[in-house]
Amino acid sequence: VIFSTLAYAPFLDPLPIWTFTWGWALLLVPLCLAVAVVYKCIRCRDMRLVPKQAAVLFITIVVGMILTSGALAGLASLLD
Amino acid sequence: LVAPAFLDSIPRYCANLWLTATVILLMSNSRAGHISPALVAVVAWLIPGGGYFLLGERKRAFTVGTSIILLFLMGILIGGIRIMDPPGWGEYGYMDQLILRPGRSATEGFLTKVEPSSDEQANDPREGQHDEIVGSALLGQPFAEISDKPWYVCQILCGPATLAFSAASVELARPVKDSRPPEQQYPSSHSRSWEIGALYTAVAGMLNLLVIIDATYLASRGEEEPAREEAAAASGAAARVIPAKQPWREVAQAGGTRGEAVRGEVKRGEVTRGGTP
Repeated sequence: VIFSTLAYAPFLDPLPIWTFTWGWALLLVPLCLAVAVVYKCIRCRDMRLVPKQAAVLFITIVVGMILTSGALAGLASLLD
Repeated sequence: LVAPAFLDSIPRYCANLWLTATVILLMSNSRAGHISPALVAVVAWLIPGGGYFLLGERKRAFTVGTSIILLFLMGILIGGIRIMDPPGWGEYGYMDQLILRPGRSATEGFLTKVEPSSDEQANDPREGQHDEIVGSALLGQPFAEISDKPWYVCQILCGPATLAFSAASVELARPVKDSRPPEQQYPSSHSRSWEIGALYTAVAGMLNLLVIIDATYLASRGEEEPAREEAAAASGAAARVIPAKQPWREVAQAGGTRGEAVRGEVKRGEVTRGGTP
């Protein structure tokens, strides 16, 4: 891990996310945040409403993904 | 064979495109006159959020543009520069070539794609004496090349930044000189790094597509206003009241002027003239 981190060149080499077991899943959080912000920027007439509505949408997406992944993991373990 | 010259010029073209878009943005006065939807669409592609900026939506432009550019850059940070994988260029950064190999008779032959892995092979991709060079695979079989890398269709929607990063990616993909077998200093990422990096850059492009469509739609609503107002004035249409809490899109559709609808300046209960209900 130390050697791969020392040799890492940002933007040129890929992020060494394979060294973390579940860390890569956290990378979906900024993606959901950006989707929520841009979508609400398009939909909301008043920009003052965007932060609150984007936060609600962001939480909805993340909770929905967690519930879906939990359900799928449960189904997969049942089928095993 | 023309790849190196074409490749070298891409960053220059991108810089010119950005400069043009910036000049358009700086010279535009969104409150005076109407702005062509085509111009809004082009500027929105050149600079994410630039379309809203032209329409006077500064906060919206900044928020949307920052989000899309950050998402795109995070994709490159996660997957590395080689996440930009343009159609028509191979694993080693050389332009794919089509060669015609002779068949059983003089009239028969078949096209084969060659992905060069060295300067020598890029200059002469023929493997046999009777092979003929047809040209670039991207120009000869564009649909096949693009369907091999469909994610690039989404990535290109982020504007000239995609072209500039693609040029850098292709340049960095070249093998280390005199290495046998060819060895790259920056090989492509794989597995989750590649998947998540490609997802980030592709989603950034798709979000920019939504923004381009929305900004162009708003600009086109603004173009229709003068004709509608003239028609309403000629027919003596009655003034209408826009009800309180009406969504801004409905304000535009109900006949509010472009500036009012686009910038959301219609106040509750404000009277405006309209044509079609």
